[in-house]
Amino acid sequence: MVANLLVPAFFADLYPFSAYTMFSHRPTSLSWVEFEDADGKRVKPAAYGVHNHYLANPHVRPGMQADGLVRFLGEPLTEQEVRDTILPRMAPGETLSIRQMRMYRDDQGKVHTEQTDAWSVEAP
Amino acid sequence: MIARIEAHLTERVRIGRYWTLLAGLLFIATSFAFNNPVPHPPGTRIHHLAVLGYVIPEAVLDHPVYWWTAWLMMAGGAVTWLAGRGLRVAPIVTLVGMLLVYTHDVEHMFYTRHQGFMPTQIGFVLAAWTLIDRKRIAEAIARGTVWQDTLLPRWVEYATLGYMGWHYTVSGISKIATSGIGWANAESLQLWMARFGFGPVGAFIAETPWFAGMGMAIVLFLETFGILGLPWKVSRPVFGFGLLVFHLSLEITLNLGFYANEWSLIILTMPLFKDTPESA
Repeated sequence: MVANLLVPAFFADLYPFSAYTMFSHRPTSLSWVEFEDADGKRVKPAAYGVHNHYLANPHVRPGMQADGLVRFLGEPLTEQEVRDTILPRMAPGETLSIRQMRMYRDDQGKVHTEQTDAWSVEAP
Repeated sequence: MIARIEAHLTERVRIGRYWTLLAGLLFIATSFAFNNPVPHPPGTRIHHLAVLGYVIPEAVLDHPVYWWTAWLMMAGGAVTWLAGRGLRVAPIVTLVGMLLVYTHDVEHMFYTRHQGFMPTQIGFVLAAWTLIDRKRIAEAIARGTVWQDTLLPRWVEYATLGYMGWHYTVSGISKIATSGIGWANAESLQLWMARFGFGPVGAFIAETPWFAGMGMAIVLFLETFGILGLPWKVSRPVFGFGLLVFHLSLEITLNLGFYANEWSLIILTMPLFKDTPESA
């Protein structure tokens, strides 16, 4: 109890002491990738080590449930990053179509979603 | 007749506020834990999200016996505590069990969930009160007057409300320190709602900048000044109601259910109970 009233509360987010850091950041855009298999069926990027979590809580634990790519403030993943992450997890000959998406707000306060890139990856 | 019933009920619930709070928090904690026996995920822990995560070996933490032992300690301790038995030991067993259960929970998360923090910390206050005043409480139970006696010391009231207020204040300070006052400029909330929100309220917030900005500004104010607003009797219902609406809106738009926070705000800040003479 006393510890939480002192300095650690401002820095730590360790149960049972916390500064409730969720949603403290102020992102101006969010980005994510969407995967489709060769049949055009949506598949979860997490299955290939790519995690689209926008991390509302900065006290993330890499290596726990997400051992692949994670974006902290919604910045886009690059093609090379995605390729390097998913290739070791793909079956031989498997093909994935990948769309890079972005969400932002314009000056009038309207939210838009757009596709910013697309590419495909084929496992050797 | 109604006046007599009203007087009778008022009398019975005078002290009942903190027993009701305690019962609710323990119920939420036990049911939450019971519904969340998180499976062991792949990967190695690089960071810990609980203090005890640094102490308890990973093999122990991941063993099913750990979880069941912790849950039984919490649930068994809670029942015993609420029954007024073993007041010297039951609160300690309950709190240790709760610490172990929530440690297990957050240690299996990708990032910290905060649902377990408030029941644990208010639990500390209520356990301290029970241990300190256990003789008075036991005597009142023996007399059958536990609901009528003015058992509640003033420090319990201010410790719980001050603790809750402090939680919200560090949350507000965290937002200002990370993003400045401009945190409340509506943009990020609109994006969160557009991407992760659901339902008509989520859609409305995503499409309505002035409403999103107003909501963020109010929340930032209530959180930052929670340490003053919740303990002070005059502002308490306003802060309590505002923070309750904040939690409920998160629940219906982002599925973030802070049930223990909501329960504590309802019991401690809403004018549902008549004050005891000691706490008045």
